[in-house]
Amino acid sequence: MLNKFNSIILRDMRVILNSNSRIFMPIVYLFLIITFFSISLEGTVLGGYDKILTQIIWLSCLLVSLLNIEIMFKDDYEDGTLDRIVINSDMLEICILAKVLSHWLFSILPLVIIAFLINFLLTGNLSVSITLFISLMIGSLTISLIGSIASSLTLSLKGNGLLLSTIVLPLDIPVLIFGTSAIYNSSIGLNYDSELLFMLLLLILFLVIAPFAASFGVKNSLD
Amino acid sequence: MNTPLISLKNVSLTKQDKDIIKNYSVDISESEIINFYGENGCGKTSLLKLVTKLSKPTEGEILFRPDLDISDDIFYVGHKYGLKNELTVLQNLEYAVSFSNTEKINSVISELESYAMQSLSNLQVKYLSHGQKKVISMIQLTISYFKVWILDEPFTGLDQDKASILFEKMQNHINDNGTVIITSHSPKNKFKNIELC
Repeated sequence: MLNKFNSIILRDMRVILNSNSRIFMPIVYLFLIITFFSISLEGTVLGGYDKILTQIIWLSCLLVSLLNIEIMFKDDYEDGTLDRIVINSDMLEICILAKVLSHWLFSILPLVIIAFLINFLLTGNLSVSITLFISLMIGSLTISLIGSIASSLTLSLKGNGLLLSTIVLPLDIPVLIFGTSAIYNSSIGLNYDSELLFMLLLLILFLVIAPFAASFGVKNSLD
Repeated sequence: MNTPLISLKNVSLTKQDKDIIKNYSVDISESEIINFYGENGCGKTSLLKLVTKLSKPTEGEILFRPDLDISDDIFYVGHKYGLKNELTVLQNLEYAVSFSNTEKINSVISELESYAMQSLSNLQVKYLSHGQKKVISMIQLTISYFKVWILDEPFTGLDQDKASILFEKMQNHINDNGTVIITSHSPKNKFKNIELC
Protein backbone atom coordinates (compact mmCIF):
# COMPACT_ATOMS: atom_id res chain seq x y z
CA MET A 1 0.00 0.00 0.00
CA LEU A 2 2.91 2.31 0.81
CA ASN A 3 4.28 2.00 -2.75
CA LYS A 4 0.96 3.32 -4.12
CA PHE A 5 1.12 6.21 -1.63
CA ASN A 6 4.64 7.04 -2.80
CA SER A 7 3.87 6.62 -6.49
CA ILE A 8 0.95 9.11 -6.30
CA ILE A 9 3.16 11.71 -4.58
CA LEU A 10 6.02 11.17 -7.06
CA ARG A 11 3.65 11.42 -10.04
CA ASP A 12 2.01 14.62 -8.75
CA MET A 13 5.44 16.14 -8.15
CA ARG A 14 6.40 15.39 -11.76
CA VAL A 15 3.11 16.86 -13.02
CA ILE A 16 3.80 20.09 -11.09
CA LEU A 17 7.42 20.23 -12.27
CA ASN A 18 6.35 19.78 -15.89
CA SER A 19 3.78 22.59 -15.69
CA ASN A 20 5.49 25.62 -14.15
CA SER A 21 2.43 27.86 -13.97
CA ARG A 22 0.81 25.54 -11.42
CA ILE A 23 3.40 26.33 -8.76
CA PHE A 24 3.74 30.06 -9.51
CA MET A 25 0.07 31.07 -9.88
CA PRO A 26 -0.82 30.73 -6.15
CA ILE A 27 2.30 32.73 -5.24
CA VAL A 28 1.34 35.49 -7.69
CA TYR A 29 -2.19 35.53 -6.19
CA LEU A 30 -0.72 35.81 -2.70
CA PHE A 31 1.38 38.81 -3.75
CA LEU A 32 -1.65 40.43 -5.41
CA ILE A 33 -3.97 40.03 -2.40
CA ILE A 34 -1.35 41.34 0.05
CA THR A 35 -0.64 44.30 -2.24
CA PHE A 36 -4.34 45.16 -2.63
CA PHE A 37 -4.88 44.95 1.13
CA SER A 38 -1.86 47.18 1.70
CA ILE A 39 -2.97 49.82 -0.81
CA SER A 40 -6.54 49.96 0.49
CA LEU A 41 -5.72 49.88 4.24
CA GLU A 42 -2.56 52.04 4.39
CA GLY A 43 -3.17 55.03 6.64
CA THR A 44 -6.66 53.90 7.71
CA VAL A 45 -5.70 51.59 10.58
CA LEU A 46 -5.33 53.11 14.02
CA GLY A 47 -1.83 52.53 15.41
CA GLY A 48 -0.30 51.64 12.04
CA TYR A 49 -0.99 49.13 9.32
CA ASP A 50 1.89 46.87 10.34
CA LYS A 51 -0.07 45.94 13.49
CA ILE A 52 -2.48 43.85 11.38
CA LEU A 53 -0.13 42.91 8.54
CA THR A 54 0.57 39.38 9.83
CA GLN A 55 -3.16 38.62 10.17
CA ILE A 56 -3.68 39.89 6.62
CA ILE A 57 -0.96 37.58 5.34
CA TRP A 58 -2.62 34.67 7.17
CA LEU A 59 -5.99 35.55 5.64
CA SER A 60 -4.46 35.92 2.16
CA CYS A 61 -2.95 32.43 2.41
CA LEU A 62 -6.36 31.05 3.38
CA LEU A 63 -8.04 32.74 0.39
CA VAL A 64 -5.42 31.51 -2.07
CA SER A 65 -5.57 27.96 -0.74
CA LEU A 66 -9.36 28.05 -1.15
CA LEU A 67 -8.90 28.97 -4.81
CA ASN A 68 -6.98 25.86 -5.75
CA ILE A 69 -8.79 23.29 -3.62
CA GLU A 70 -11.07 22.58 -6.57
CA ILE A 71 -8.24 21.04 -8.61
CA MET A 72 -7.30 18.50 -5.94
CA PHE A 73 -9.15 15.61 -7.63
CA LYS A 74 -10.50 17.37 -10.73
CA ASP A 75 -7.59 16.66 -13.11
CA ASP A 76 -7.43 13.01 -12.10
CA TYR A 77 -11.20 12.75 -12.53
CA GLU A 78 -11.13 14.25 -16.00
CA ASP A 79 -8.21 12.26 -17.42
CA GLY A 80 -9.43 8.95 -15.96
CA THR A 81 -6.50 8.30 -13.62
CA LEU A 82 -8.87 8.55 -10.65
CA ASP A 83 -10.78 5.49 -11.97
CA ARG A 84 -7.61 3.47 -11.71
CA ILE A 85 -6.81 4.77 -8.22
CA VAL A 86 -10.29 3.71 -7.05
CA ILE A 87 -10.26 0.28 -8.75
CA ASN A 88 -6.68 -0.72 -7.96
CA SER A 89 -6.37 0.33 -4.32
CA ASP A 90 -7.29 -2.03 -1.52
CA MET A 91 -7.43 0.98 0.84
CA LEU A 92 -8.64 4.02 -1.05
CA GLU A 93 -8.27 6.16 2.10
CA ILE A 94 -4.46 5.86 1.93
CA CYS A 95 -4.45 7.04 -1.70
CA ILE A 96 -6.77 9.94 -0.82
CA LEU A 97 -4.35 10.90 1.96
CA ALA A 98 -1.53 10.82 -0.62
CA LYS A 99 -3.53 13.14 -2.90
CA VAL A 100 -4.15 15.59 -0.03
CA LEU A 101 -0.52 15.47 1.03
CA SER A 102 0.78 16.02 -2.50
CA HIS A 103 -1.66 18.93 -2.97
CA TRP A 104 -0.43 20.47 0.28
CA LEU A 105 3.26 19.85 -0.47
CA PHE A 106 3.27 21.23 -4.01
CA SER A 107 0.53 23.90 -3.97
CA ILE A 108 0.31 25.14 -0.37
CA LEU A 109 3.73 24.66 1.26
CA PRO A 110 5.52 27.06 -1.17
CA LEU A 111 2.87 29.67 -0.18
CA VAL A 112 3.55 29.15 3.52
CA ILE A 113 7.29 29.62 3.02
CA ILE A 114 6.76 32.75 0.89
CA ALA A 115 4.28 34.12 3.48
CA PHE A 116 6.90 33.65 6.22
CA LEU A 117 9.52 35.48 4.15
CA ILE A 118 7.17 38.37 3.24
CA ASN A 119 6.16 38.81 6.87
CA PHE A 120 9.77 38.77 8.10
CA LEU A 121 10.89 41.24 5.43
CA LEU A 122 8.00 43.66 6.05
CA THR A 123 7.83 43.55 9.87
CA GLY A 124 11.36 42.45 10.81
CA ASN A 125 9.84 40.52 13.72
CA LEU A 126 11.25 36.98 13.73
CA SER A 127 9.24 35.55 16.63
CA VAL A 128 5.88 36.61 15.11
CA SER A 129 7.03 35.33 11.71
CA ILE A 130 7.83 31.94 13.24
CA THR A 131 4.38 31.84 14.89
CA LEU A 132 2.88 32.68 11.49
CA PHE A 133 4.87 29.87 9.88
CA ILE A 134 3.90 27.24 12.48
CA SER A 135 0.22 28.23 12.60
CA LEU A 136 0.04 28.32 8.79
CA MET A 137 1.69 24.90 8.50
CA ILE A 138 -0.91 23.33 10.81
CA GLY A 139 -3.82 25.46 9.55
CA SER A 140 -3.20 24.96 5.84
CA LEU A 141 -2.94 21.18 6.23
CA THR A 142 -6.27 21.18 8.09
CA ILE A 143 -7.80 23.33 5.35
CA SER A 144 -6.51 20.94 2.67
CA LEU A 145 -8.10 18.02 4.51
CA ILE A 146 -11.42 19.88 4.82
CA GLY A 147 -11.09 20.85 1.15
CA SER A 148 -10.62 17.22 0.12
CA ILE A 149 -14.08 16.36 1.51
CA ALA A 150 -15.74 19.25 -0.30
CA SER A 151 -13.77 18.68 -3.50
CA SER A 152 -14.70 14.98 -3.62
CA LEU A 153 -18.39 15.71 -3.04
CA THR A 154 -18.61 18.27 -5.84
CA LEU A 155 -16.35 16.40 -8.28
CA SER A 156 -18.96 15.42 -10.85
CA LEU A 157 -20.77 18.78 -10.81
CA LYS A 158 -20.08 21.43 -13.40
CA GLY A 159 -19.38 24.93 -12.04
CA ASN A 160 -18.85 23.54 -8.58
CA GLY A 161 -16.87 26.51 -7.19
CA LEU A 162 -19.74 28.18 -5.33
CA LEU A 163 -20.98 24.99 -3.69
CA LEU A 164 -17.41 24.08 -2.77
CA SER A 165 -16.80 27.40 -1.00
CA THR A 166 -20.15 27.12 0.81
CA ILE A 167 -19.17 23.72 2.21
CA VAL A 168 -15.62 24.70 3.09
CA LEU A 169 -15.99 28.19 4.62
CA PRO A 170 -17.93 27.33 7.82
CA LEU A 171 -15.49 24.49 8.56
CA ASP A 172 -12.50 26.78 7.99
CA ILE A 173 -13.66 29.46 10.45
CA PRO A 174 -12.34 27.72 13.64
CA VAL A 175 -8.94 27.28 11.96
CA LEU A 176 -8.95 30.98 11.00
CA ILE A 177 -9.93 32.12 14.52
CA PHE A 178 -7.23 30.10 16.29
CA GLY A 179 -4.61 30.88 13.65
CA THR A 180 -5.04 34.63 13.74
CA SER A 181 -5.40 34.81 17.53
CA ALA A 182 -2.12 32.84 17.94
CA ILE A 183 -0.46 35.55 15.84
CA TYR A 184 -2.09 38.36 17.81
CA ASN A 185 -0.97 36.82 21.12
CA SER A 186 2.52 36.37 19.79
CA SER A 187 2.69 39.99 18.58
CA ILE A 188 1.78 41.40 22.05
CA GLY A 189 4.08 38.95 23.82
CA LEU A 190 1.43 36.62 25.26
CA ASN A 191 1.55 32.82 25.33
CA TYR A 192 -0.05 31.22 22.25
CA ASP A 193 0.41 27.50 23.06
CA SER A 194 -3.28 26.88 23.69
CA GLU A 195 -4.25 28.24 20.24
CA LEU A 196 -1.69 26.03 18.53
CA LEU A 197 -2.86 23.02 20.57
CA PHE A 198 -6.45 23.65 19.49
CA MET A 199 -5.26 23.86 15.89
CA LEU A 200 -3.38 20.57 16.28
CA LEU A 201 -6.53 19.02 17.69
CA LEU A 202 -8.52 20.17 14.64
CA LEU A 203 -5.77 18.79 12.38
CA ILE A 204 -5.91 15.38 14.07
CA LEU A 205 -9.71 15.39 13.94
CA PHE A 206 -9.79 16.02 10.19
CA LEU A 207 -6.85 13.67 9.60
CA VAL A 208 -9.10 10.91 10.94
CA ILE A 209 -12.36 11.98 9.28
CA ALA A 210 -11.30 13.42 5.90
CA PRO A 211 -9.77 10.33 4.18
CA PHE A 212 -12.91 8.28 4.87
CA ALA A 213 -15.35 11.05 3.95
CA ALA A 214 -13.40 11.99 0.80
CA SER A 215 -13.07 8.39 -0.42
CA PHE A 216 -16.83 8.00 0.00
CA GLY A 217 -17.31 11.23 -1.98
CA VAL A 218 -14.92 10.14 -4.75
CA LYS A 219 -16.64 6.75 -5.13
CA ASN A 220 -20.02 8.46 -5.32
CA SER A 221 -18.82 10.93 -7.94
CA LEU A 222 -17.50 8.13 -10.18
CA ASP A 223 -20.74 6.12 -9.94
CA MET B 1 -17.26 -27.61 -14.27
CA ASN B 2 -14.99 -24.65 -13.49
CA THR B 3 -16.34 -21.89 -11.28
CA PRO B 4 -16.78 -18.72 -13.34
CA LEU B 5 -14.32 -15.93 -12.64
CA ILE B 6 -17.01 -13.27 -12.51
CA SER B 7 -20.68 -13.97 -12.36
CA LEU B 8 -23.50 -11.44 -12.78
CA LYS B 9 -26.78 -12.66 -11.35
CA ASN B 10 -30.04 -10.87 -12.25
CA VAL B 11 -28.29 -7.53 -12.29
CA SER B 12 -30.31 -4.36 -12.86
CA LEU B 13 -29.06 -0.79 -13.02
CA THR B 14 -31.39 2.19 -12.91
CA LYS B 15 -30.27 5.80 -13.23
CA GLN B 16 -32.72 8.68 -12.88
CA ASP B 17 -35.70 6.33 -13.35
CA LYS B 18 -34.27 4.94 -16.58
CA ASP B 19 -33.51 1.23 -16.75
CA ILE B 20 -30.01 0.95 -18.20
CA ILE B 21 -29.51 -2.75 -17.52
CA LYS B 22 -32.47 -4.95 -16.68
CA ASN B 23 -32.31 -8.34 -15.00
CA TYR B 24 -29.11 -9.38 -16.74
CA SER B 25 -27.15 -12.54 -15.94
CA VAL B 26 -23.86 -13.71 -17.42
CA ASP B 27 -20.90 -15.87 -16.37
CA ILE B 28 -17.38 -14.88 -17.34
CA SER B 29 -14.82 -17.70 -17.27
CA GLU B 30 -11.05 -17.82 -17.33
CA SER B 31 -9.15 -17.70 -20.67
CA GLU B 32 -11.92 -16.07 -22.67
CA ILE B 33 -12.16 -12.92 -24.74
CA ILE B 34 -15.68 -11.66 -24.29
CA ASN B 35 -17.12 -9.00 -26.53
CA PHE B 36 -20.26 -7.26 -25.28
CA TYR B 37 -21.71 -5.62 -28.35
CA GLY B 38 -24.73 -3.50 -29.06
CA GLU B 39 -25.86 -0.13 -30.27
CA ASN B 40 -25.09 3.17 -28.54
CA GLY B 41 -26.69 3.66 -25.14
CA CYS B 42 -27.53 0.03 -24.47
CA GLY B 43 -25.48 -0.11 -21.28
CA LYS B 44 -22.08 -1.48 -22.40
CA THR B 45 -19.97 1.01 -20.43
CA SER B 46 -22.33 0.76 -17.45
CA LEU B 47 -21.88 -3.02 -17.47
CA LEU B 48 -18.09 -2.68 -17.41
CA LYS B 49 -18.33 -0.17 -14.56
CA LEU B 50 -20.40 -2.68 -12.61
CA VAL B 51 -17.78 -5.39 -13.13
CA THR B 52 -15.00 -3.05 -11.93
CA LYS B 53 -17.17 -2.09 -8.92
CA LEU B 54 -17.02 1.57 -9.94
CA SER B 55 -20.79 1.53 -9.71
CA LYS B 56 -23.16 -0.64 -7.72
CA PRO B 57 -26.12 -2.52 -9.22
CA THR B 58 -29.59 -1.36 -8.19
CA GLU B 59 -30.63 -5.00 -7.92
CA GLY B 60 -28.93 -8.37 -8.22
CA GLU B 61 -25.38 -9.29 -7.33
CA ILE B 62 -21.95 -9.65 -8.88
CA LEU B 63 -19.89 -12.58 -7.60
CA PHE B 64 -16.13 -12.82 -7.98
CA ARG B 65 -14.19 -16.09 -7.67
CA PRO B 66 -12.57 -16.02 -4.18
CA ASP B 67 -9.00 -16.03 -5.54
CA LEU B 68 -9.69 -12.91 -7.64
CA ASP B 69 -8.61 -9.70 -5.92
CA ILE B 70 -10.11 -6.72 -7.76
CA SER B 71 -7.48 -4.24 -6.64
CA ASP B 72 -4.60 -6.44 -7.87
CA ASP B 73 -6.05 -8.44 -10.75
CA ILE B 74 -8.28 -6.09 -12.74
CA PHE B 75 -7.11 -3.41 -15.15
CA TYR B 76 -9.70 -1.10 -16.64
CA VAL B 77 -9.31 1.28 -19.57
CA GLY B 78 -12.44 3.32 -20.17
CA HIS B 79 -13.25 6.13 -22.58
CA LYS B 80 -10.75 8.31 -20.75
CA TYR B 81 -7.23 7.11 -21.36
CA GLY B 82 -5.98 7.33 -17.78
CA LEU B 83 -2.83 9.25 -18.76
CA LYS B 84 -1.50 12.52 -17.36
CA ASN B 85 -1.13 15.09 -20.15
CA GLU B 86 1.76 16.88 -18.41
CA LEU B 87 3.90 13.75 -18.06
CA THR B 88 5.97 12.12 -20.79
CA VAL B 89 5.00 8.72 -22.19
CA LEU B 90 7.78 7.10 -20.20
CA GLN B 91 6.80 8.83 -16.95
CA ASN B 92 3.16 7.78 -17.43
CA LEU B 93 4.15 4.16 -17.97
CA GLU B 94 6.56 4.21 -15.01
CA TYR B 95 3.69 5.44 -12.85
CA ALA B 96 1.46 2.63 -14.20
CA VAL B 97 4.07 0.08 -13.13
CA SER B 98 4.67 1.62 -9.73
CA PHE B 99 0.94 1.74 -8.98
CA SER B 100 0.45 -2.00 -9.46
CA ASN B 101 1.16 -4.68 -6.88
CA THR B 102 1.66 -7.29 -9.56
CA GLU B 103 4.98 -8.34 -10.99
CA LYS B 104 6.48 -6.44 -13.90
CA ILE B 105 6.54 -8.75 -16.90
CA ASN B 106 7.78 -6.67 -19.81
CA SER B 107 10.01 -3.63 -20.04
CA VAL B 108 8.39 -0.35 -20.98
CA ILE B 109 10.76 0.16 -23.90
CA SER B 110 10.16 -3.30 -25.40
CA GLU B 111 6.39 -2.75 -25.24
CA LEU B 112 6.74 0.65 -26.94
CA GLU B 113 8.89 -1.03 -29.60
CA SER B 114 6.23 -3.71 -30.20
CA TYR B 115 3.88 -0.93 -31.35
CA ALA B 116 6.77 0.91 -33.12
CA MET B 117 6.32 3.92 -30.83
CA GLN B 118 9.68 4.03 -29.05
CA SER B 119 10.48 7.42 -30.60
CA LEU B 120 7.63 8.99 -28.57
CA SER B 121 8.95 7.91 -25.18
CA ASN B 122 10.16 11.34 -24.06
CA LEU B 123 7.26 13.31 -25.51
CA GLN B 124 4.59 14.78 -23.23
CA VAL B 125 1.27 12.99 -23.66
CA LYS B 126 -0.55 16.27 -24.49
CA TYR B 127 1.30 16.34 -27.84
CA LEU B 128 0.05 12.87 -28.90
CA SER B 129 -2.91 12.16 -31.16
CA HIS B 130 -5.98 10.36 -29.79
CA GLY B 131 -4.93 7.11 -31.45
CA GLN B 132 -1.44 7.32 -29.98
CA LYS B 133 -2.88 8.03 -26.52
CA LYS B 134 -5.06 4.96 -26.92
CA VAL B 135 -2.04 2.80 -27.76
CA ILE B 136 -0.13 4.12 -24.72
CA SER B 137 -3.09 3.32 -22.48
CA MET B 138 -3.14 -0.23 -23.93
CA ILE B 139 0.61 -0.61 -23.30
CA GLN B 140 -0.16 -0.22 -19.57
CA LEU B 141 -1.87 -3.64 -19.79
CA THR B 142 1.18 -5.58 -20.84
CA ILE B 143 3.97 -4.14 -18.69
CA SER B 144 2.52 -5.57 -15.48
CA TYR B 145 0.48 -8.76 -15.22
CA PHE B 146 -3.22 -8.22 -14.61
CA LYS B 147 -5.42 -11.29 -14.84
CA VAL B 148 -8.53 -9.52 -16.11
CA TRP B 149 -8.44 -6.76 -18.73
CA ILE B 150 -11.60 -4.69 -18.98
CA LEU B 151 -11.50 -2.48 -22.06
CA ASP B 152 -14.15 -0.10 -23.30
CA GLU B 153 -14.10 -0.08 -27.12
CA PRO B 154 -10.36 -0.82 -27.35
CA PHE B 155 -10.22 -0.98 -31.15
CA THR B 156 -11.93 2.38 -31.77
CA GLY B 157 -9.40 4.93 -33.02
CA LEU B 158 -6.61 2.43 -33.72
CA ASP B 159 -5.22 1.87 -37.22
CA GLN B 160 -5.29 -1.66 -38.64
CA ASP B 161 -1.69 -2.52 -37.70
CA LYS B 162 -2.04 -1.39 -34.10
CA ALA B 163 -5.42 -3.14 -33.80
CA SER B 164 -3.93 -6.43 -34.98
CA ILE B 165 -1.00 -6.09 -32.55
CA LEU B 166 -3.48 -5.47 -29.73
CA PHE B 167 -5.54 -8.48 -30.84
CA GLU B 168 -2.38 -10.61 -30.79
CA LYS B 169 -1.58 -9.40 -27.26
CA MET B 170 -5.12 -10.34 -26.17
CA GLN B 171 -4.60 -13.86 -27.61
CA ASN B 172 -1.29 -14.18 -25.73
CA HIS B 173 -3.00 -13.00 -22.56
CA ILE B 174 -5.72 -15.66 -22.66
CA ASN B 175 -3.07 -18.32 -23.36
CA ASP B 176 -1.50 -17.06 -20.15
CA ASN B 177 -4.75 -17.83 -18.20
CA GLY B 178 -5.92 -14.23 -18.50
CA THR B 179 -9.39 -12.98 -19.33
CA VAL B 180 -10.31 -10.07 -21.59
CA ILE B 181 -13.66 -8.30 -21.48
CA ILE B 182 -14.29 -5.71 -24.18
CA THR B 183 -17.20 -3.77 -25.63
CA SER B 184 -17.78 -2.85 -29.26
CA HIS B 185 -20.54 -2.05 -31.71
CA SER B 186 -20.45 -5.30 -33.67
CA PRO B 187 -19.62 -9.01 -33.16
CA LYS B 188 -15.98 -9.93 -33.79
CA ASN B 189 -14.31 -13.06 -35.14
CA LYS B 190 -12.60 -15.38 -32.62
CA PHE B 191 -14.27 -13.58 -29.67
CA LYS B 192 -17.10 -14.88 -27.54
CA ASN B 193 -19.76 -12.41 -28.64
CA ILE B 194 -22.64 -11.47 -26.36
CA GLU B 195 -25.32 -9.09 -27.60
CA LEU B 196 -26.51 -6.63 -24.96
CA CYS B 197 -29.66 -5.32 -26.59
